[in-house]
Amino acid sequence: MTIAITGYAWRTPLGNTIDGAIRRLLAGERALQRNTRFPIGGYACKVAAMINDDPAPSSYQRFLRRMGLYAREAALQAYTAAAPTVAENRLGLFFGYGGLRAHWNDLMPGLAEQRSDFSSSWERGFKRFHPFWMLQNLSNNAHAIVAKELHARGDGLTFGGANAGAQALVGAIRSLKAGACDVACVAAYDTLLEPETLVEMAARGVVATDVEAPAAYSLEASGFVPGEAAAALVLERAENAAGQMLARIEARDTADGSADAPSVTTLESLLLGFTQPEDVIDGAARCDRAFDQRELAVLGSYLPGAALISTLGAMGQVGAAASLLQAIALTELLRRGVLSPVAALTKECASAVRPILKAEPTTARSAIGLSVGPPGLAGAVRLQLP
Amino acid sequence: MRRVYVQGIGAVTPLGPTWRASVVPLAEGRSAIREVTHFDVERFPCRVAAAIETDTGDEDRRLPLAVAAAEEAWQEAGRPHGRLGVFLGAESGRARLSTILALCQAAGGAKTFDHGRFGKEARSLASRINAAVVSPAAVASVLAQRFGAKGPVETISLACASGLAAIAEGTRALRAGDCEVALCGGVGADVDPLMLAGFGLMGALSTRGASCPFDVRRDGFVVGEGAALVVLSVEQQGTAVQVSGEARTLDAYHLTAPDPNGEGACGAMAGALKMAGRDRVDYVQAHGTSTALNDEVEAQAIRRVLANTLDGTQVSSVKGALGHWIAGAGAIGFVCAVEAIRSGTLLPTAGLAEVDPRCALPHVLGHSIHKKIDAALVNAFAFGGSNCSVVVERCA
Repeated sequence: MTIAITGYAWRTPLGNTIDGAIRRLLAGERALQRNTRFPIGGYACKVAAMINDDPAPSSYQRFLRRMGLYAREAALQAYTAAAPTVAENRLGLFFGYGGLRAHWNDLMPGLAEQRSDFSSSWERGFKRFHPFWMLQNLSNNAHAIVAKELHARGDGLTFGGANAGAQALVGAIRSLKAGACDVACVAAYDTLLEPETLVEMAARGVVATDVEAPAAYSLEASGFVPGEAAAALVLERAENAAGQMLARIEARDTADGSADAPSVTTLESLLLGFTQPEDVIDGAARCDRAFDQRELAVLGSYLPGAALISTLGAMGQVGAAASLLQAIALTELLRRGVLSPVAALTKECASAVRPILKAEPTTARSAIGLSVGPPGLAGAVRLQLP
Repeated sequence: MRRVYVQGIGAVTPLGPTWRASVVPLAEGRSAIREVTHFDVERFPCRVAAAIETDTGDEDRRLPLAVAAAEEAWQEAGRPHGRLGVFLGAESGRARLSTILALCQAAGGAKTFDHGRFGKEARSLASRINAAVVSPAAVASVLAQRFGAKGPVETISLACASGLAAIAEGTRALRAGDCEVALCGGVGADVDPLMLAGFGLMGALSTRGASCPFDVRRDGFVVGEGAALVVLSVEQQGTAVQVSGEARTLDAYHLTAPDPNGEGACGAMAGALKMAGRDRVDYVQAHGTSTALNDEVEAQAIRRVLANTLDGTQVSSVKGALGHWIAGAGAIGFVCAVEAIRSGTLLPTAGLAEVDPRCALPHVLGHSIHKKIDAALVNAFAFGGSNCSVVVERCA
């Protein structure tokens, strides 16, 4: 059974419209800027791939934090774009989120006067947390609110982790194939631009620290740009999509317990039987020389000579949102018949695949996107034009 | 449709380090709910919990619970072969409070966060900010490594329905051929000050300090913790129990309150029964949280869905004994249902003494009942209106 994409929307560091962000992707732009989300002076990592517009004002700001609001916007916009005809109890909703974030401004009033043994912790601060504090941090709060707004009463899940977008796609496709829903709205959101996350990643040396950061897949690659994004897709069984099919989609997820990116063996296992000879590759773009080389070796073993692009090299590492960004970008690029360059990459690295250095036309009709994240998580999507 | 069989079950509960060790006190109607003593709960809205007081020595309390439960299930399943998938209900982990406090102090320790200080002073704490602790997917990822998963590895973070929804997803993945063996279940390790404070401020916890699902005196849930894992397979291999139906629905109603008409709950139960080709079951392991509205809505929904077959059904909720495991809750309910079919032991609802007339059902009261059970229904309903029901039944 074939599953079709019939609509999508995103909020990305390269822009919030499909056309605008694709134009910048094709121009080889990289969403790399000084982090202005908060005063960054004391941090080792001073750069970010940020969504520069605030979420639209919403009555749900009491319950959703910034990324949840972006996810809500993207889901509603994607659903409007697809405009499916579906009964409420046949509309499924599948979300992916990266995980709990500290939201320090909420926590600090409750922690400031605590003792080290947390004796009398209620009186010393916990009673000052907002009554909605738990709801604001609920894993499925965006899922629940979007369900209410779309009147989605069918199947539904929220997945967690750095590859949760891929998991959500897998879950939605499984649901459609099993006949558990007729239309699935899939959304994913994540941010790595959190104070403690930036400190931890900088200490491990996995993030770029300044705006001169080398490109993904360059021999000088020395860390990725931490980013944030939200995206949403609407999926239907192909026989129901009729003329609205934008692309066919498949997805996979896996994990292997590694502390950071998964092993080569895991990537091989993930991609086994997934690729087709003419596929374009959208790489994971970890900007880690050793990992990048291992990744390219695996990809090259399945797809020798394939064109390599990098949505995440341009938009930053965006955790749970990665697979959805790749699915949208690849669909757009294949439909437009043009491949975007690996942003800021100026010369080919020695590998069995062919990095794109400048936007070029293509007749390719299919592509895969690979993404990875800690701890040992991987996701893959495959897009094919109808 | 491919059949899916239950090959092994395992659990770590506040009443025992294994499911085998836990089932005896559960059958006796014992409760694990106690005054919290491992941290100061003075003036907390709820000062009791069903805790597992182990100092794991590391930051992630979920992991040892899930691994132990998985080992028990895996052993019972006879270490099955085949492409393995992992489907785990889990919420995000949390660093130790001492780490959180240290980070707060690195940010100035005042009521506002000083980024200028934090960026510098938190560097010395970087080794304690472990991404593997915070990620919801950390436990599933470790289980995948430990048990050699080569198939999908998925973490469902669906609040109180996570564990059962994960079992439903594993079942669906087996039917789809995405894997041949699935390690599924859920884990909750939420007896900590932040969770008790957060749920308490929401007004969700029992201020009386009692978990008594469906009782007239119920006034909120009690947080519990533990892990329940099961091994499912497409191979029967002599097992007695199969998963014959699963369904999930969304209320699309409210962030915390269930749809008072119970449409979503009814839809999940009816969907699971329809898939199983049944209009009746012998036993229902209810979600039964001990909250005023949820129990009433669930009881109404059970009466509506099972209708005139209800008289032949027994209903209980394990949360009376073990508290509410949040992400692990539905998974331990599933294990109770499998136990009912395997051994005929229908666990009682601990704490239920005076049934609320609005929650009238054929409850199992006091201590366990023993009878032959051919089919059981398991419910899990979450904050946010996510509902999941699963039917398990005796293999023909």
